[in-house]
Amino acid sequence: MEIARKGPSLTARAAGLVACRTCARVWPAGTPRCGRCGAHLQSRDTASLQKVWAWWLAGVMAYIPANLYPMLVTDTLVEHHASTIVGGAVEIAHHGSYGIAAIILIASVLIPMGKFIAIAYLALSARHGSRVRPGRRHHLYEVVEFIGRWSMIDVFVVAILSALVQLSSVAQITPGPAALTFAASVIFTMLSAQSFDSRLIWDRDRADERRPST
Amino acid sequence: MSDDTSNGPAEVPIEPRPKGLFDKLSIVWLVPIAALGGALSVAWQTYADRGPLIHIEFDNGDGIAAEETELRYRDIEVGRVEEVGFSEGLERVRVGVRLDKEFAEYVDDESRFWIVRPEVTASGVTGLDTVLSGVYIEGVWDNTIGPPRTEFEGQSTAPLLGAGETGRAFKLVSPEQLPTARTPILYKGVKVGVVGAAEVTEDGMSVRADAVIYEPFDRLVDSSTRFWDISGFDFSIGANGARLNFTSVASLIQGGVTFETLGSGGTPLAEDAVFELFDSEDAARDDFLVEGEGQAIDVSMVFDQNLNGLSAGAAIELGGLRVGEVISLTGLVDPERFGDNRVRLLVSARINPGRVGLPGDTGPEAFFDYLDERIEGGLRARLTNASILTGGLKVQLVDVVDAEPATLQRDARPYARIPTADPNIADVTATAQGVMQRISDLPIEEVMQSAIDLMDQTTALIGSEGLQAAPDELLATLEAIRQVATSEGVAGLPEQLAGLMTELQATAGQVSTILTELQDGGTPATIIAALEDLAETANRLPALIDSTDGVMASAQEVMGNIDGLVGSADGVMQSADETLGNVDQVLTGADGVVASIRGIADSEEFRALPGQVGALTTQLNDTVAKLDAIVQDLVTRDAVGTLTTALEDLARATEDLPGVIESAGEAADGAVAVVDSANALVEDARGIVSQAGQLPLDELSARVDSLLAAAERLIDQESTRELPGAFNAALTELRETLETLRNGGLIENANATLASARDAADAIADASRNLPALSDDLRRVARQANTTLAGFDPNSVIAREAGNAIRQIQDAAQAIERLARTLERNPNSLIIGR
Repeated sequence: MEIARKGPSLTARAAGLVACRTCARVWPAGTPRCGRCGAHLQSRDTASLQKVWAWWLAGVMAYIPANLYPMLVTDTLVEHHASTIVGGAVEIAHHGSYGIAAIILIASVLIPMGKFIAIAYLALSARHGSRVRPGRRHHLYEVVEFIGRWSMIDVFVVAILSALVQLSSVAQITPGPAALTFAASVIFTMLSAQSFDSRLIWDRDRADERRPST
Repeated sequence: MSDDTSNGPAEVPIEPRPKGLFDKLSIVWLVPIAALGGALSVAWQTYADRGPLIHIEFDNGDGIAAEETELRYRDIEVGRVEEVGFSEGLERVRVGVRLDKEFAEYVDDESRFWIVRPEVTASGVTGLDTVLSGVYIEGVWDNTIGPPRTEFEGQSTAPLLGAGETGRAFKLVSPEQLPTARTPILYKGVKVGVVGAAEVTEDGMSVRADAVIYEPFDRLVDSSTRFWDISGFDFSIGANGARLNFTSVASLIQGGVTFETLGSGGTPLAEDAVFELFDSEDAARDDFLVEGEGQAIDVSMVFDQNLNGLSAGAAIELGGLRVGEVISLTGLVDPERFGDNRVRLLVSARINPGRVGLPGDTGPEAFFDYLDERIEGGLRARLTNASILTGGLKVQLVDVVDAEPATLQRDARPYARIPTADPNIADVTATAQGVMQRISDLPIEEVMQSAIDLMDQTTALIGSEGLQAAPDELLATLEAIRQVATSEGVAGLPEQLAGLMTELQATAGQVSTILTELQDGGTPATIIAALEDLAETANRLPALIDSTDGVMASAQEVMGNIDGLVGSADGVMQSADETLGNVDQVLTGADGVVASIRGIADSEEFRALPGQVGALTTQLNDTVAKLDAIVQDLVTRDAVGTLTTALEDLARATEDLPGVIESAGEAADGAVAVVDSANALVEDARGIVSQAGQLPLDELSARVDSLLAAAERLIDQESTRELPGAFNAALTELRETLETLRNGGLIENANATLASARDAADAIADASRNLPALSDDLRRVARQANTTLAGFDPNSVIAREAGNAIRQIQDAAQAIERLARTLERNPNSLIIGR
């Protein structure tokens, strides 16, 4: 970071080197395999953005039914209740539990939506550049990667409730179709984030800086 | 790998290897494509699986919610309500239901829908699950595919035939009432159908309900089937005791209808056939008897007496068998036919020839031929008691002995007319009422009051000193009589009487001898001759009688005069009345005389009387002995011969009689004159009688009075007076004895007994005061018995027993009546105990 503040950072690629992503040994650029661990060496993943976009699209597609179909189906003696994610949160809010409603909304709506936006932004900026400095964008990427697994909290809640509340006809909670698609959406989003080659953030930055100088 | 790398860092030209489009594409793209494909296929399938939307209109949509309320077929969800709205004009609730596609094609014209709600009825609780799950719409349709339809009218109640149930629908009607909805139809205890909710018919005369019989039980029902109600229970009191009938506890609570096919050969149950529901099995069977097999034939009858008690539905009986029933009753006035304008009773009836015993297909003409034959033999319609207590009547077809000839009037209006006979009606109710009336009219309270008074007086009498002294005197009198009875004279009487009897016997023997001799002497022949002469004489009598007529006319005049005489005699009698008033005083004197006589009875002379009687008897004995001797004399002097001679003379004399009679005719003429004179004589007699009226009878009785007073004085001598003294001494001991008795508590006991008797009498008085209420109760009981017995079949064993019982009651009532009459005449018999 301190180096970065001083001036444009030097990438391995710019230095004609390639690092092994498995054991971190640096080799001259063009080395096809790591001499130490035998891993395949690649300076940049050329298909990275493709994969990002493919997973991203799948995640978005899965996210749509996850919001339209009921997440949790509650069958009691008296009633049969099916609630979607947002509908359930609103209902809980109506009952006065604003905190829980907020958690649900944040975990199941805000975070997935934020991830979609963040990943799309990173992918776009990797290709077309951005005014935001690469360090910040890399930071954003780390946040996305870290926070992604927490989106599953809703799915876990449903899974646990379904397992616990199985009192035959008296009361029964079963996951709705949305639970599955939501889980799929989260998984696809995580895969999308993982597919992103974070080194691309810096390449564009480097090219931008070089262009005026040359 | 290349040599350049070993020479240090250098610009490495990075040339992307030219690749094909497919090489560039990552395999990861398959994932969104697969996701898209999956989503599209799911969407397509959802759309393709969607069934049609049908609309059902209900009266109210209580509990129906969009997206929640299910449509069920045989309790399985086959659709779901998508929208709830109103029909045009907000008249009904319009529910849109999305059907499952696989069932949609079965929902066609005859589909029916209703809302299932929890319902609690006598027959159980239904739809309980809807309490928790909410209402649902139940649909029922057959399992054939018909033309699709999307608009339906929902029903307010579940149809009688549910899903999967097949059966035959018909209607039940009743002029009175039908059981509640969902009442089961039971056949030998098995539920084979159900009755729907009843509704009043358009004309308001009866109620009607849909009903179904499930398959295969519809085979059991045909046109000769009769339905009746077995709801509730039947309680009756009759000659056989109390009876409580109910089919089952279930039918007691929820009701029920049962049926029986009473005949064979009925036509099978047709769709929408109508059956009448009868109150009871008896009513159903009766109906079948009349309407059942064969063709019923209408007839009419005209009864001279317009009697109360006959009603439509009353039985027509032939030989005790119900063969028909009365259809209607009307009055009939036909002066031309009957010769007066009295109202007669025109009865229209329906008779089933099959019940009479004729073949079931007997037509009217054949039946009338049969009736003709019977009527010639004396068959007549007659009104008679159907129920003795209720006063209901029925019509009997009976052979009347010595009936006036009559024929069946086939062309009569409105129907062929059967001749009638006088009614045979026993009005038991009137008799029973009379008995009750008599009992309630009994002067029991007065009798009780009199009894109480009597008891009071008796108590006073027994307590009086006079009565206490009476036993003493009585004892003395008896002692005197005993002495007389034990005297020697009295003891000798029987022997003397025996002697007298012997003598009398001897005399009778003599008389017998005389009569024998008379017979032997030819006397009877003489008498016969005399009689012949008499006959001759009698022939001549008419002339005499003519004369006598004149005498009689004169005698009538005499009689007129005698009337006047009698008038005068009346005056005499009035005087005699007055005289009799004086006689009362005489009798008072006589009382004294009698008292004195009692004294005399104890006197020496009296005691000597038997002796004198003995002497008298002895003399009588002698007299009879003398009589005997005289008779003996008569015998010896041939008195019989003399008598015969005398009779011969008599015969001669009778020969002369005609002459005498002629003379008598003349004499009769003379008698007229004599009677005329008699008139004058009667006149005189009247004068005499009027004088007799003025006779001083008063004076006479006064004299008798004084005579009796003298007699009293005579008897009331000192010697006579001494007798009571002796009596008193003798009676004193008796009194002492009585006193010991009184000390012994006898009198107290008697008093107590009498007091109890008085209490008892009071109680009886109270009781008798309650008697009117009791008789009211009796009347009420009788009335209730009336209604109870009204329902009886008159032909059943019960009715016959009841008839016997009632006859006995009648006897008893008559006995009571007699008792009541006796009591009325002799109320004191209540006290005396007779």
